[in-house]
Amino acid sequence: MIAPVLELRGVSKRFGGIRALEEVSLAVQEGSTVAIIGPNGAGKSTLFALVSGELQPSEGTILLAGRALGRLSAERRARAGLGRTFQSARLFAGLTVRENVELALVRRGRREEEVREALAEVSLLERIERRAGALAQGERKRLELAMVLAQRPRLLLLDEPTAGMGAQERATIMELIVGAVDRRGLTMVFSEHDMDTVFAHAQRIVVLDRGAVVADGSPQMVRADERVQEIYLGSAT
Amino acid sequence: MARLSRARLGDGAPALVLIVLAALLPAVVSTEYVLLAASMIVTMLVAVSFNLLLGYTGMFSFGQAAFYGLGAYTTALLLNHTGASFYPALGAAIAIAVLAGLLSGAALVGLEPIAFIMLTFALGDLLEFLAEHLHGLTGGDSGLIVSLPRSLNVIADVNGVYYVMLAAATVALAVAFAFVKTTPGLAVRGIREDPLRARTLGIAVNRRRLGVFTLSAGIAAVGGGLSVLSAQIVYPDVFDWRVSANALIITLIGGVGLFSGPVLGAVLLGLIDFYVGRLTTDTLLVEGGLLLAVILVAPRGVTALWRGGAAR
Amino acid sequence: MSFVTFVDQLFAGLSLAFVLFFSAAGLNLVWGVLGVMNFAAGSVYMLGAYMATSVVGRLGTSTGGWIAALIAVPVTLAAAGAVVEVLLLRRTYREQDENRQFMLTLALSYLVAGVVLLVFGTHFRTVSLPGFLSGGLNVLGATLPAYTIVTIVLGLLVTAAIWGLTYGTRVGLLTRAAVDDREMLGALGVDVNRLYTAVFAFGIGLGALGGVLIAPQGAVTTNLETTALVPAFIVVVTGGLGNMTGALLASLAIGVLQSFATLQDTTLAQLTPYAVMTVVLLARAVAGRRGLSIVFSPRKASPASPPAAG
Repeated sequence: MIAPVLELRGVSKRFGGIRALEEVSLAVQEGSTVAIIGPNGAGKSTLFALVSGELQPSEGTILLAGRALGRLSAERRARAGLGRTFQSARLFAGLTVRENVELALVRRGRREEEVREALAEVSLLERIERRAGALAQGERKRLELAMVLAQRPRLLLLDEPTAGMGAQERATIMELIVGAVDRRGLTMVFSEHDMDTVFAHAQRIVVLDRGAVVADGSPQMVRADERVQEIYLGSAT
Repeated sequence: MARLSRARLGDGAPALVLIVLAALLPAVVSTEYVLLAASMIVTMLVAVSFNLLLGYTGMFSFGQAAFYGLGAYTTALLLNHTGASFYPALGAAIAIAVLAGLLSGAALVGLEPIAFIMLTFALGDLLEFLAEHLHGLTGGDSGLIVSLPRSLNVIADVNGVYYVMLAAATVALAVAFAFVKTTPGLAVRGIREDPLRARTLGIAVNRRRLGVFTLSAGIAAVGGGLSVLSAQIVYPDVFDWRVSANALIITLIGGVGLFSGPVLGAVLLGLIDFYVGRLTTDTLLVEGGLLLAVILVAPRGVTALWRGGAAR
Repeated sequence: MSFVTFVDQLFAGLSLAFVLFFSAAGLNLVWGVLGVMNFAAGSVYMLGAYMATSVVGRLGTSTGGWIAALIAVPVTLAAAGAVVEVLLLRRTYREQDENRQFMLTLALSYLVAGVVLLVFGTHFRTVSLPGFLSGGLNVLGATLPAYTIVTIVLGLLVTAAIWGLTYGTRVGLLTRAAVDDREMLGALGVDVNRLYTAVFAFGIGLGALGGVLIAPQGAVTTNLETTALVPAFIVVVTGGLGNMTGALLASLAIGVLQSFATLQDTTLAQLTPYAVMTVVLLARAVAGRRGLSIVFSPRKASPASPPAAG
């Protein structure tokens, strides 16, 4: 049997006395699209930071394609095929759009046609010489997407790819993402607030609440789960 | 075609213009000003090496004095003891500084910024201490007099020495320019903007930092080696922290993170010190005031002021 | 080594250690609370020493003159520090640009050095001690310079005062809170500006006190700036940035070891700070690799709070 692209075994993370993640275990198979949902503070961003190596787990093991990551640095994880975006797009604000994409290509050797291709894919080609810091919110998100795609990752980690967007913009960027993922046959894990988006695009949904996995399964299963309804319907939404 | 090359040169264009002007200088001015230009070449190189670190990579280093001094002493010692001609001696000095940069950098570049500042500062201080006390090698505080071949004697042939300095400096500038405008330069600018983000793109942050630290050690050593020609004597104060601080002032005046910034800055500070020096020996007050003014009024440098805002 | 020599060197080392600690503690405090690495610390030390020569020179080499210098110089410089903090440093906190703040203090160090050159000239100054301080005191069979004992006693008092202030008062509590999380402090309704001014002034005063104490130990020259700054940097890095206990231990280790090393070779003894730092940093690196996470800085090394949301 082929090892899952990503696997978490009993991963916990504490900040001082605060438990951000508690005994999280999950496996993501090659080619699947998994959504991680949960209320604010459920531990979604912490989980992403643990996988990408910006934080180290207090307990537990994270494996990428069957290989334990241990204390491997963020840069080595990126080279091992992990690409991520951030909840509020994290760009090199003082550099141009072109240079931002080129930085994503540094590891593989940068080539002009690849830069243009990546920017064309997210419809940012006409902004190529702009400073990234001067982009509008939606454009920032798209640039970050172009960067992560240019990395040619095996596993795509997208932390709220539609954060701060209206319904129309949300649909456009999700179409863009799903199209790119399908074309390349990528594995994708994304976190998301908007439930319509989640149920429209995820093959599997993992629900986090207060740092623990409370449900994990197909959209139909999760939709029917009582605890999930409690978490989501019990609160204001 | 002309347009293309202008785009490629970008912020290097003013530096190129200044080099051309510098080459024409001996034809129009007196010896006094040729010597002034020679001292500008030396401070410019240290400032360029400093700008590679602070301006391009975001690393604040006080270590430039250490490598500048190593360049000066190694060149002087080789000229005195081995009978080597100037360029091989300079080449060996660069090699020594690069090696020292590689070794010290390996220990230092991963430190957090404040510790990096303090320990690069300490590095220069340590070498100054050694230069003061290894009398047999350096002559200690009385200085090391350099015996130069007649062709390189600044008293006998000012212009000849000046052109040797200008040629070596031009090559060093070209190397720095090539670094800045290619992939390594891009990578370090990414690190300057956001090191953690650069890591998540698979960029080897500390290895890149070590690379630029080593390169800048080599360029500072060129400055040190050339200083031997105009001064003909080396004192332990080549390792003084004010050498590094001066590089900072020059870079700030000219424009930090702009390739031509420290080149312009060296000319500006050189002129200011020259004329102020005629009025008072207390140039510290002037330099401190200048530094304070630039930090408060135009943190991106005088260049940014006349370009009307933020420069890339 | 005879017992008398041992006592001699030990006490000489302790007095060295406390003077060193004053500068390092000033640096540490200002860095920990304000996030500013005060490059002008060495200049303050130098200026303190020069001012001590003036005050004693004017009032005469008397007990009164000495006590006046010991109090007036640090207080004056602390007040000047407060003015500098309000007028200059305060403008830079919002951007959180460490480099710019550092450069600002570098500019100040140039200005102080320039003023010293203007006022005191390039000639060195000396100052002599009043009668009761220039004599010797018998301690454990050794005759020690009275001044060494006075320095140590003052050092102990000031160190105790620092700890008392930090752990026993409201200002100290706020200071510790600020080291931990500066943003939080404002949210608690604390007047952060006043706290910053007080801490900066206190840090400057500490450095100045070190300068006053060192003045009679040798010639007062512009070299004092660097000879104070480098060991202070080394103490701060060795003890761990912002870590007061670490700084005190590092100062004691360096001061005492250097004093004993002087017996062997006065020149090589000056390398003691480097040697101590190298050993400590190497030990820390080895320990770190074994998984003992000894952090460099309490404020920066480990993320004190979870990422924004999620």
